[in-house]
Amino acid sequence: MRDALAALPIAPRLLGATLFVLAALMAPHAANLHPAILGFFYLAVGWRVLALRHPRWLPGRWLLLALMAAAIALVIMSTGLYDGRLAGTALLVVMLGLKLLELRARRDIHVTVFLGYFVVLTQFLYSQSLGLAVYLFAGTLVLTAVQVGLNRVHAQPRQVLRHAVGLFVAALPLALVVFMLFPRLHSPLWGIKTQRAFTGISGEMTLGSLGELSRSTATAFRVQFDGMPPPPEQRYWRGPVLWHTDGRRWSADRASARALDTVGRDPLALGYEITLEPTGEYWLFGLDVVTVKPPGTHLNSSYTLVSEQRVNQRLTFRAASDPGFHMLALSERERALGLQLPDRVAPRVAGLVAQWQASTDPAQPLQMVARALDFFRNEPFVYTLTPGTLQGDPVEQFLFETRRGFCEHYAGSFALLMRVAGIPARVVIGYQGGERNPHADHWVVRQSDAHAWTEVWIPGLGWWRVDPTAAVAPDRIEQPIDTAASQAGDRVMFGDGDPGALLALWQNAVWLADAVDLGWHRWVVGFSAERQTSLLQWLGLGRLHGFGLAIALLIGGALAVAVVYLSARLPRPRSGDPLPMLWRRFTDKLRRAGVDVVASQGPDTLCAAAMRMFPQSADQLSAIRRIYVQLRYGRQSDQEMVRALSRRIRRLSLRPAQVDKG
Amino acid sequence: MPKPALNNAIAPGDHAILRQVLDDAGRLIVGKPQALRLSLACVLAGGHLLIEDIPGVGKTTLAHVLARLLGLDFQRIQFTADMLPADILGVSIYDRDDGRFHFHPGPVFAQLVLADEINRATPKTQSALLEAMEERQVTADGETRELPEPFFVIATQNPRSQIGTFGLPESQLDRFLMRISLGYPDAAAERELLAGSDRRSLLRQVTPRIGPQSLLAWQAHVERIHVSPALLDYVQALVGATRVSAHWEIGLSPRAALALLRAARAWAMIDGRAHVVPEDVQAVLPSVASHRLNALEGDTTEQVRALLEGVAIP
Repeated sequence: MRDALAALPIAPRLLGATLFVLAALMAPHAANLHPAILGFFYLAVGWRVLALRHPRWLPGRWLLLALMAAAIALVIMSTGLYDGRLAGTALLVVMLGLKLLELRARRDIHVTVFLGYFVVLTQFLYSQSLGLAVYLFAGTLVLTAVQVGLNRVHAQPRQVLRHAVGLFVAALPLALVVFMLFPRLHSPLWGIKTQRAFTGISGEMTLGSLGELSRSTATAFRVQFDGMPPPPEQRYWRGPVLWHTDGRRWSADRASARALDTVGRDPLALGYEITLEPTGEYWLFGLDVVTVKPPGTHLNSSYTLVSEQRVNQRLTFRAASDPGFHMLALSERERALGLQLPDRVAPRVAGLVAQWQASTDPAQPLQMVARALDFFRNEPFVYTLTPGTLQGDPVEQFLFETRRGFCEHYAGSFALLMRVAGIPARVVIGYQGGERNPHADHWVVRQSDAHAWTEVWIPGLGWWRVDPTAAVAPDRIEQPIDTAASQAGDRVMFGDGDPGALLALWQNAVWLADAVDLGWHRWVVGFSAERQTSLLQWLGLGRLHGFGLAIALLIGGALAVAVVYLSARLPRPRSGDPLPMLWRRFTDKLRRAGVDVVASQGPDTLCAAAMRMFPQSADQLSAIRRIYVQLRYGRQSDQEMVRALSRRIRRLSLRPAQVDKG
Repeated sequence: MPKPALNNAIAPGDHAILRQVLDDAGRLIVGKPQALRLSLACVLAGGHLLIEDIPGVGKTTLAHVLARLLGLDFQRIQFTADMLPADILGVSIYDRDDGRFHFHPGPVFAQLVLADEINRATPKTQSALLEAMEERQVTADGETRELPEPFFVIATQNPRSQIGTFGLPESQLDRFLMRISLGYPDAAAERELLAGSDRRSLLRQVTPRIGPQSLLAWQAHVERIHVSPALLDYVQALVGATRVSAHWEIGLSPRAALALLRAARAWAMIDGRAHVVPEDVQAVLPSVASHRLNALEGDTTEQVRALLEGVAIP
């Protein structure tokens, strides 16, 4: 029966369903593959759809060979073969398309569906988002239903789908065990090269760059604190440190990337876990100042947390910070860098500093800092997302004419003023603030929280954080920027006043989606080797590696299969008619005794077959058949007969014919 | 435990008489018990029978034997291309003596009509017979005349020589409860046939077992054979399967489902049972369903078998 089925031609409806599901499953690959590859695939699908009506339109063998050559050329040209992942996926996709063109018998469609499963998996090499996972999961379910339908003579969509869901449910325990116990790699499977553009802080700061970024409400990273979150004025998320300036542009110092000795365990440190969105850069963000670094990272001499690999995928890491930590080291080179000035410093700027120097003690640099902050506080400076363009010497223009700026204007000009005054200064960029998700215990830091501040060298105190923006707009530190309001108006607006009911509902939904997204990442995608180890420890399995893990996987898998098997064998409680259940018990008994029970056989036929196999039990079998047929198909129905049937089925013993028993 | 009694025994006399009919018929039509039983079930279910087979395998003999055994008067109509509806239904002829038209009933006015090679006649003539079969009456010259009771048509057609014939359209095929074919006898049966005496003389020796009145009582009794909800589930599953399957052009209609049930009841009655079991349905399904279904691919008979194998008994 099975072989006959395999050779049967495919019902057009099932083939149509297969084509539709495959086409839908391939759609997300549009983000990864060259349009020509997907175009080729969809052309093949379209061709096959047309051939449903006109089977003669299917390509012959030679045309198919030519198409294959064209497909391979297409793969080589579009991927250049420099990225094995991309080339491999592209090859699979075009080959799946070609396979569709030679679908004839049911056997072919099975091959196609399995290839389809594989191509579905390749999408996870590019993205592991929850949305994609849900979409592909649903598609795989339908694809499985098509498989089930192919193995049935009469496929009813609902029945077939129910069967597929049943298969998935049965597979779930095994999938869970494998998910939890399968050995994890410490680095990503693919050294991912990507030309994708990421939103986020770049390694340098030009006037206006952070202001642009502040218009984006995209998530930069999410944080979960181990204990009490720090107060807003300490929520500075340290990123790259900038040393070089030409007056308009600030950039990092390549040489300062040298690794700093680990700070070591810090009892005062506040632990937290960050889930960083991909940035395409090496540096990570940590609460100012990171003292306990995660594995696979180092702290550079500017106390920026730097990863060994570019963050091209979401990254979850644990770190700890001590807000009261003093960065006390200053090399001669750093002193020189911290005092570096642009080629030309405007006389008005130098004059202003000289004026301050006259009234402060050079041994007390903090007095100079205070004078500068007073200057920002007392003069009519405006904190705005739309500062306008600065011509000529930007610092001079900003300090004396426009007086409109975003944080980078304040941080940049403040650092410059300090350097002119002979105090080593540097600019730190990162984020400031964060918002708590009311539905979950985590904080969201957005691109609009991007910030720049200054650090000055104070003997005895080390690098000392000074945020000139706080002098101009103290609210910036306390509340997040209200992006929409700030863009419309002249000044930056803070907080979110009183949203309408509909808006509140929407915001609520956004927070909920954020919580789900982080949960998905933390528990599924980000289930790393470290998490696996801690799970195993929690299970009391300790540190399992290699062989031990493989044994655990085998045992766990066997247990999962056993659970599914046993629960499938449990008699299902059925309300109402007891007869079908009794009959199933009877047929199960026959099946175990070796009778070939076929669902389409009537009771008479079945019992006749059983009686031929077990002539010694013929009387018992005949009585069971008679009572069952009477009850199920005759007019009689009384409880006494049902009980009698149940009793007889229970007592039925099937003795093989050769056993001679008197 | 006492054997559950069949408390609703067969009403019109002993059902052994039906067995006897089959045994008697089996002596003339050797080696075809299944076809005989199906034909008898068809009569008892009050339906008409279409036999599709090559000439010379005993179609006419079967009709003759049934007519004799059931005590029905018998008419045979050989269909030809030039036949007119009046040749079947009858014609009104002017009588010069009393100056009036008198209706001369055609051959259709018989209890058992053998319509031989029905596909040779034009569709107009075919439909005259088929309408009479359905309505069980004939309307001529504005006057409606009842056909005799019981009324049973056995039509034959030759599937091989199709040139110059008018195949029955599907809507007309639906008027036949069953379609069967006899096929060649096996070697032993054929030997018996060759060695035995002439069928015609044997036919003359056949004595009627059931009279027309008794047959009507049997037909009425078919309706009283019990059909349980579980069996209806099965019939619905079968019919439903033909509707969703991709193997058939169209599925079975509710009328076909009713026909299936009626045939299964008659089959159960011949077996001496007061209720229908799934095996009854399985026995009659190929004959009841195959001419109502049109397989998109492959052999219809094979597909019907696959249908039976594919539908589980609830």
